[in-house]
Amino acid sequence: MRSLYDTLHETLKSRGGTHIGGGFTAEYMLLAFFPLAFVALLRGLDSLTSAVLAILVTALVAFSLPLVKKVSRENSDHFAIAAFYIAIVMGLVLFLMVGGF
Amino acid sequence: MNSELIPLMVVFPLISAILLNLMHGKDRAVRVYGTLAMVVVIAVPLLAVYGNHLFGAHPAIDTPAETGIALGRINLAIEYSFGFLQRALIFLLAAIATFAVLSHTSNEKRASGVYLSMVMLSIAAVSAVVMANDIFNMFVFLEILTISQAAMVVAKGDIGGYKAALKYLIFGGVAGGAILLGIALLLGTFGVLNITDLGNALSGNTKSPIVLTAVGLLVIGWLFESGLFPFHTIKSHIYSSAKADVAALLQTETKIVLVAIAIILLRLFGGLSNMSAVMVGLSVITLAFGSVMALVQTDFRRLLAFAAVGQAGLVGIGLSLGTPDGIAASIFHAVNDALAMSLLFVTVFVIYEGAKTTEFSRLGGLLTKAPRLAFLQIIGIMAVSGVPPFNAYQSEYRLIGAAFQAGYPELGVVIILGTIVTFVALMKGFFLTFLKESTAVAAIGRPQLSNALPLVTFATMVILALVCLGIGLHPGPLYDRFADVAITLTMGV
Amino acid sequence: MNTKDIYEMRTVVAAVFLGIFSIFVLKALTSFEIIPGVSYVYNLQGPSIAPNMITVILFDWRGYDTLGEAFILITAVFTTGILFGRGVLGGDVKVRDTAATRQPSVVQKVFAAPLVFIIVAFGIVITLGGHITPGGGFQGGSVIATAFFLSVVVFGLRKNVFSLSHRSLETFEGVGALIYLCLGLAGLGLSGYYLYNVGADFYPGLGVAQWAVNLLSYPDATNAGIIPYLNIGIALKVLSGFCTIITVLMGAEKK
Repeated sequence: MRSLYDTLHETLKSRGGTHIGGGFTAEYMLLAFFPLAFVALLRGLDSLTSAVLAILVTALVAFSLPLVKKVSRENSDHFAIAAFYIAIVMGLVLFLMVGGF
Repeated sequence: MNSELIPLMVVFPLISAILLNLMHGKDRAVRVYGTLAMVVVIAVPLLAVYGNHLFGAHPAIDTPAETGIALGRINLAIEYSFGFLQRALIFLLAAIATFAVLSHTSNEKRASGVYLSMVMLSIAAVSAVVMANDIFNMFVFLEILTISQAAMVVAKGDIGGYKAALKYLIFGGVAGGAILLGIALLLGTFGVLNITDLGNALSGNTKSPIVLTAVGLLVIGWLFESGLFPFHTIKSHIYSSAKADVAALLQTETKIVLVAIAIILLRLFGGLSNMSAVMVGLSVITLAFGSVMALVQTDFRRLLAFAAVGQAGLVGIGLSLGTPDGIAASIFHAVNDALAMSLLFVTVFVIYEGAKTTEFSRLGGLLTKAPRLAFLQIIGIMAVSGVPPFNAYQSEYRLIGAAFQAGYPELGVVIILGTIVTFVALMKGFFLTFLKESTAVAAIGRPQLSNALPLVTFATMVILALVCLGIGLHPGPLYDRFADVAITLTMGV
Repeated sequence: MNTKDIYEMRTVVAAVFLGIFSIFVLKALTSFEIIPGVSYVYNLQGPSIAPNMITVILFDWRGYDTLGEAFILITAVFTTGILFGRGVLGGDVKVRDTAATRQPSVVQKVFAAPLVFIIVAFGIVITLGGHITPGGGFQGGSVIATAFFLSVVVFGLRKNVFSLSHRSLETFEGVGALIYLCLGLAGLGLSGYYLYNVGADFYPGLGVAQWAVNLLSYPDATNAGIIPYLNIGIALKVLSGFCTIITVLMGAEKK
């Protein structure tokens, strides 16, 4: 864990002192956002499903630390990345609307 | 009641767009006409009487049985309705657009008639979307809006703008297709396009798979038009590729359209919990990613672009809650945020004009060179991130209250977190631009940054700052009437 | 797993989700029952205006939507202009006229010139008879534009049959759109409703003056009112819009 954030620190350091602060604030904010958003979005589910999903999300978060690097890569201007998420959301929205949950 | 000025809010900008395009090349004519036209554009929404307008004068008729429509009376004409909400939003749009036009005519050596005609087309399109009580008419003008926004970005004339605009148009095609398909499904099933009629025909009928598919498709369109996840990267790319004064207009238009389409969705499918959940979810994700991405940017324009997108998520949350408090607070926040964000975009526009860059690595130490600008920017930052006594404080406070009341305390916490992140990100931008010691800017920038501040730009910033402060001190007159709108809206549900 | 693998995996995931999307859309499209709806009323009342129902619906009940559609085209044409340097901030980028100067062959010359005139005549017929027979402003304008395309392809941009400059095309387009907008304004001024069909005067209770009705009613056996005039405006606009685009594209330099 420690080495993970040391690497992040080194990466951010090359951009200047303020970016270290910004990067780490972003990291912790993301860590705070995930459980909150999870609770807000999936509170309607029964306890078993939400427990399974909670484990899945925790695993996802744990394996993609540090989050800020992944998140900024996934939010870049690349056409392919945007198209990927748009495809997912288009499918997901119709699935949630028509399939019900 | 028939109000004759209602169509002029759309038709006058359209006529002006044609005339400005014809005048292109005659510099003086473009400047004079562009400025005069904005006076009319601002005046019409203030003078128009509240009411409805039926295009082509076709009245409502008793429904013949053969139509298969389950309603007693239907509207034949395309209908526009104009009330306080419409007046407020169109006036806001006209005010910000006036700044964009004046900024163009006062800063550019040669005024571009084509560019101003694009501004006019986008004004007409947004006004139409706000007023349309006809779902197909809304779609037609959304298409005009998408193309004209892309054109305003392309007009900057650099390769980055071309890329962003192309991407915007491609995904705009996807979203436009989704909206059109959704409308087609609704028209085929219920036989009407008028939103009031459609809402009546839909009541109690929203559970069929076809309607749900249509709702999903319309929601996808809404996501694109308002720049919510997954379209947030595209919107922020568009904002940061445009000139910053245009970006102020673009983000205002986006927030207005967000509110307008969300209200149409609520009027049609207000009771649908699935839709509300999907909209809340994507808004929360937009808020989180928008504000966090703002924090890690290295370019001031890009930072603002992501902050603007994140704030759109905030507006989306309240509207998707569907409670009167949430809707009123959201509309109020959309107005406040459009104003405050415009102020910030204008300050960045000034920085860009002076220093020819907004990269943080090449900025710094501007405080001594432009103290007035720094002061106005800090006001803008406080206004955007909800610091009292400025306007967004009033709306964010109400949004959080609405989230708690609707039974989503965690959403309230998410909103607070998002606000904090936005504040930190903007303060980081302020620090790196104004406070950090740097000699880099001396080499590239003109030292007279503060003296060279054009009067129009300076006046705009002061006015926007004062309006932000004024609304923050006296939120009542505006908020109470938005609350009335929201209550009327939710009564039918 | 390297980046390339991730992207390949993503393509599969995206395909799966798009598949889900298509399944739901297709399911809705195959299972939905269409009711006649409001178009039944249009078809009931339409014949009292003009025989061609499509034109009547497009230009009377949904005339304002058609205005919007026309402006989508106009916006697209302007945007194409901006893309090629007209109206870019900081002064226009002048595009050199480098259109093909290839000499046309004899066959091309002999056939193209008369064909252009025939196509133009055909387009005018389609436009003017738009409210009676299948056709209308959009179709007529596009047909005339094909004549322009043919002439540009055979004779080049400078010496073609039409010899229309970019400027005059823009004027045409502006005039076409203004015809539409101003006929709408005439309705607004005379009856209080935008795009009211003044010439047909469908609802006499609105108090439109008789001279205006006489002025704006199309002189033929139908009761089409302003619809043919709207068609002419749309035709002008569509024709010059397409021609502007082809002019811009032909004049563009390869970079």
